[in-house]
Amino acid sequence: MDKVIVENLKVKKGNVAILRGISLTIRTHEILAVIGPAGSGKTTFLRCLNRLIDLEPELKPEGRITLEGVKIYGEGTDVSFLRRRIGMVFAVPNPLPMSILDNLTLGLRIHGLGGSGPITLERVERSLKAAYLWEEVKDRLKESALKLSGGQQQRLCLARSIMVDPELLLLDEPCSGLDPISTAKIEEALQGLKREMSIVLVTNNVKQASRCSDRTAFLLMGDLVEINNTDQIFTNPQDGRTSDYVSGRFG
Amino acid sequence: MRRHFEEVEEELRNRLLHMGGLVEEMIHWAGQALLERKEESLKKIAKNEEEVNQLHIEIDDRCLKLIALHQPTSADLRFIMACVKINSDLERVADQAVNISENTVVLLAQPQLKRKLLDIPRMVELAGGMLKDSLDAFVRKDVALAQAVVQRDEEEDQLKSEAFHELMQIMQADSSSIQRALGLILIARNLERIADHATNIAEDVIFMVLGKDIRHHAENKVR
Repeated sequence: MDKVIVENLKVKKGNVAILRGISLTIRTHEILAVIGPAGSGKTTFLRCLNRLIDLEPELKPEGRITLEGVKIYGEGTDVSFLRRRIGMVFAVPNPLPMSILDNLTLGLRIHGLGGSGPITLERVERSLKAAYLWEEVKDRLKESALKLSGGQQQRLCLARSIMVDPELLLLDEPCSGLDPISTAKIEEALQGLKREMSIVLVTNNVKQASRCSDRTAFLLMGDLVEINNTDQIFTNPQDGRTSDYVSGRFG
Repeated sequence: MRRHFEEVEEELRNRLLHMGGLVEEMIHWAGQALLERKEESLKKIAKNEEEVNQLHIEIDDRCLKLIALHQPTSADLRFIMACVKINSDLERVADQAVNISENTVVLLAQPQLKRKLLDIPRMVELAGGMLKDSLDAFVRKDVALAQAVVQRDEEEDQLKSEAFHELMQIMQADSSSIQRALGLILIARNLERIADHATNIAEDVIFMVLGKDIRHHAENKVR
C-alpha cells in the first residue's frame, strides 16, 4: 500500500534544477533507501517530504506530494501537524541542551500530548528500547543528553523522533559520523521500526542501503535513474549508471 | 543488523537441509527399488527431483542476494560459499539417484542374476550414510565427523572396483547376463559418484569451520 505518492517533483534554485521531475511512491512498512552521489538531490528530496524546504525560500518545489491522499503542499496544510506525522533524523546528532528525558518528551509537550506521568514514561521506555538505547540510559534519564557519546546521541534523536508516533520517518545520513557498532544498532532499530511506520533512508553508504532497505531509489543529478526492490538493484540493476554506482565505479 | 543477517542465514541453512532431506530420501528409495525389487519406490524419486531442482535455483538465488546485500566476510562468507557448493553437490546427488532409478527399471524388467548383488547393498548403505553424516557435520559444524566421511570414500571406491571386476567376470562367463551386469556397473558408478559428492560436502564443511582447504591434499602443499 502506498503511504506517500510523489508526482513529478521539481525543485529549482534560480535557473539550476536540483530535482528534475521525480515520481515515486513510498509504501507502508517499508524502508526506502535513497542513494546517489553528492549533489544528486537526495537531501532536497527528503526535505520536500516534510516541507523543511519551506525554510529555504529560494527553493521552489513544483509537482505533487500526497500523504495518504492529502496534499502536503495543499492550501491550509498544518505544517506543524504534518511534521508530527513525518519525523526526521539528521546527519549530525542534535540533542537539545537538556536532560535525556526532557529531550524525549519535548515533542509531546509541543504538540500538547502531555509530557509527564506514567503513560509518558512508558512511551519513553518504548521509544528508547526501539532505538536500542534503553539499557544504556535507563538509570540516567535525568542527566544531560550532551553527556552521551555521538552514537548514543543519534539513537536518542531517533527515539525522540518516534515519541510522537510518526507514520513516516525520514533519515538523512543518520550514521555518517558513527562507528560500525553504533551504525549496526541504528540499522537494527530501523528493522523493528518499519513494522510501525514507513522509513526513507538517505545514505551515501551504498552498503548500508543494501543491508537494510526493502527498496532502493538511485538519484543522479536530480533525476530518478531507477527505483526497484533492493535485491534487484544490487544483483541486476536495469540501468548501467545504477550498476556503475553500486559497484563503486563512480560517486 | 547482525540479527537480521542471522535470520536470513538461518533461513538459507534450513532450505539447504530440507533439500538434503529430499536427496537422502531419493537414495533410500533408489536402494529399496534395487535391492528389494520395489518398483513403486521409483515413482517417489521423480517427485522429489522436481522439488530438488527448484531448491537448487532458489538456494543459489538466496546466496547471491546474501552476498550482494550483506557483503559477508570471514566465517559468514565461508558459510555462504559452503552453501553454494553443497547446493550444487546435492543437486548432482539427486541426478545420480535418478540415474540409479532408470537403470533399476531395466533390471527389474528381467529376472535377477543368479549371483547375489555383490557389494552393491553395502555401497548403497555407505553412500547414503556418507551423505547423511556430511549434512550432520554441516549442521553441527563437526569437523571430526566430516573427516570421517572423507576417509570412508576410499572404501566406496574399493567396492566399486571390486564390483566392476566381478561383473566383468559374470559377463565373460554368460553373455545373456550382459545387459543386467552392465546395469549394475552403471549403478555401482552412480553410487561411487554419490560418495564423491558427500566427500565434497564434508570437505566444504571443514573449510567452512576451520578455513582450511583439504581438497586434493592441499593442506600438505607449500603455499
